[in-house]
Amino acid sequence: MVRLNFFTLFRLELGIRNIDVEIEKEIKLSDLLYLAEKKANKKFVHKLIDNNGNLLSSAIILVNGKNVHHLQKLETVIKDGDELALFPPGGGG
Amino acid sequence: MANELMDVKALRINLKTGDIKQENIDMELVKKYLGGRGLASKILKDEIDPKIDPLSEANKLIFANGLLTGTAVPTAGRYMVVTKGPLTGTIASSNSGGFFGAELRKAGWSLVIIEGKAEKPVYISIKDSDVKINDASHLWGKTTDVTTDTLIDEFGEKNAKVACIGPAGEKLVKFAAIINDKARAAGRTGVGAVMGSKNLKAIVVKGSERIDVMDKAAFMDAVKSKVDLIRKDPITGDGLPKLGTKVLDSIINQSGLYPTKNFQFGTFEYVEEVNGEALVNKGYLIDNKACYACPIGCGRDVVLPNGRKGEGPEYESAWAFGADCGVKDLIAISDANFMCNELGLDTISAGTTLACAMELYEKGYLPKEDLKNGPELKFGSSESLLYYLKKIAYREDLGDKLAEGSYRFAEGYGHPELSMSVKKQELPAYDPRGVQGHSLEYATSNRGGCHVRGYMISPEVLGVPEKLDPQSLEGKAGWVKIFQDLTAVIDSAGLCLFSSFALGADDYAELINVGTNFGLTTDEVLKIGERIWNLERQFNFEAGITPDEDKLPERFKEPLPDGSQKGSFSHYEDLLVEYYKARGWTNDGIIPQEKLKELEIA
Repeated sequence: MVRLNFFTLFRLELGIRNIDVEIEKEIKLSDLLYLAEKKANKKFVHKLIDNNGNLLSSAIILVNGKNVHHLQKLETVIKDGDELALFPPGGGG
Repeated sequence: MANELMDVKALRINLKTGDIKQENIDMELVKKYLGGRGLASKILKDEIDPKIDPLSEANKLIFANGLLTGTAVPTAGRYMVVTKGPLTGTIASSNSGGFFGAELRKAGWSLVIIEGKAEKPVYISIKDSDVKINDASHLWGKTTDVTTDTLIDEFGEKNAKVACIGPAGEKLVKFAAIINDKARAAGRTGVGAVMGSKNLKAIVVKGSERIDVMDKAAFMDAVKSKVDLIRKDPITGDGLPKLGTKVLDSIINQSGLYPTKNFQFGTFEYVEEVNGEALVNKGYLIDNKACYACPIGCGRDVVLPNGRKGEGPEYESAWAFGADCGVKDLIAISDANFMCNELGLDTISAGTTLACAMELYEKGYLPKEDLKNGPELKFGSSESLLYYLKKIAYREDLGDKLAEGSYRFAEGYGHPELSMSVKKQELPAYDPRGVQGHSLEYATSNRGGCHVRGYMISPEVLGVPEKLDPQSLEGKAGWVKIFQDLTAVIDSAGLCLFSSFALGADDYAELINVGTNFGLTTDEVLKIGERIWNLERQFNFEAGITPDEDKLPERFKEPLPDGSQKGSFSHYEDLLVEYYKARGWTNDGIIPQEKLKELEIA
């Protein structure tokens, strides 16, 4: 099982704090995100991935605390037991 | 009277003699420094001896609008207060939004230069060219909200704008703020104490002239294109309007950079009680609020269950009274923020100074008898926040010592290392151990501990304009230099830093050029930023602040004990020489004469 935790606008607009996704084997991050979107029955991936299928530089996806921009981005391999934190682009100061 | 963008005027007011003069600023100087932070810093450096006591009569206090303040350019509502700061001894410039700056520009004034000290409390009233110094004895001791309402009423202009100090500024608290429009703060560096030292309680202003530009059609086209960029950007068009700056709590906590209990930890176990999502879900947030000409609207209109209402808390303020003090009570945190606005205190320094006192107390360095029967200064005590804030503002009991800021306070108890400050100004809400570029920016900031002189969190955490690895050192010195220089431009143009999530250096150059006949390239605009940065640095050097003070508290050489950055520590010292080199300084951080000449400072 992989847990996806939603924060900031995701939490407010989707109305969910987290969802758990069962995976049978290791899976690419992009595949997991679409799987999770289907399970949640709510659209959120478009705030993380652009129309060309690229991860937005300001999308924040942490896998076990590590930002996937510094792992393999959307190709990052997700394993059973991993925990993700998802944030749409955000900033302040 | 005509009010042209290319007509930059200063009011020079001597509070000792009562002289009020009007001056025209040479446009060549404006082309070199733009306005706001840059232009006022140049004037301050030319006119005062950097070695003076900041709270002496010899100091000057300059209210400075940016070049574009008061125009239709998006976010062009910012003004700066520039002076020699009492907290750090450095040049101090503190930036604020709201409507005061734009109103002052509409009255025809880009700068108000305050000199001398009034014999008794006064306020300044400005109605276009009608400028007066008035008795303020009936306002002395009043909070900023009462002062603002009273002055607007007395002035007889319900749309007049007020910038004033509260009791904290009057009592010369070293981190006293100047508050305009009741809830917007020129918060940092103690500019409120300088205003208090001059017996100046407030400035009330009403302007009646819109600002004209040469080619209005081209100007408005540029304005529209930038507004579109800001509205379409997911941060400025979506995240900030909906969650305000508190969109950051969860991001920074999950990133392991959320300073907790005086920077002892990088995550806060009760973050879900106090984050931006909680402010919405608990029903405290009523609406968002925008400053002058701002399409973002990141301000928060909040009503608490106890009936107290006001603006905020912003991310920094809520963190300072929340995680940094270990407090999980969002009502008390919000109340502390309101209280700081009313008393005229900088929230970051106030919260971080209390956090420092809590650590000193819990470690046994601050004896109980010094609390004078006040609540115990324990991490997590919301009661102590509200109690000691008031004590600080009025300099009563322990508050008198706390009013000196965390560095002097901790030093007085023999443990200056427990002050989380740089150049004696308290650090804001990002633990530098997990973000190496931001760590360097803290160490080299010209006004002491500060996040808005080169906000490296943007690329290192938020991925804007691109995502950099926060732990990598490669190229970071150059990034910090460019961010610092560009920020000086934005501050001097009179725009909000948040515009930079959507706009880049080319956009700012376009906005500056379209309103003027300057015809500057983007590189020339960045050179202006570099000039301002070097001028500030040189002021500090002449004031006796040497490069030895480009340093962080020792705590940040120890690894973070928790969170996703566990084990990380700050490598800023490894970046310093590369940074000095990128700036064209000596390896010891001194600006060589040739560099000053190249930048036309010397």
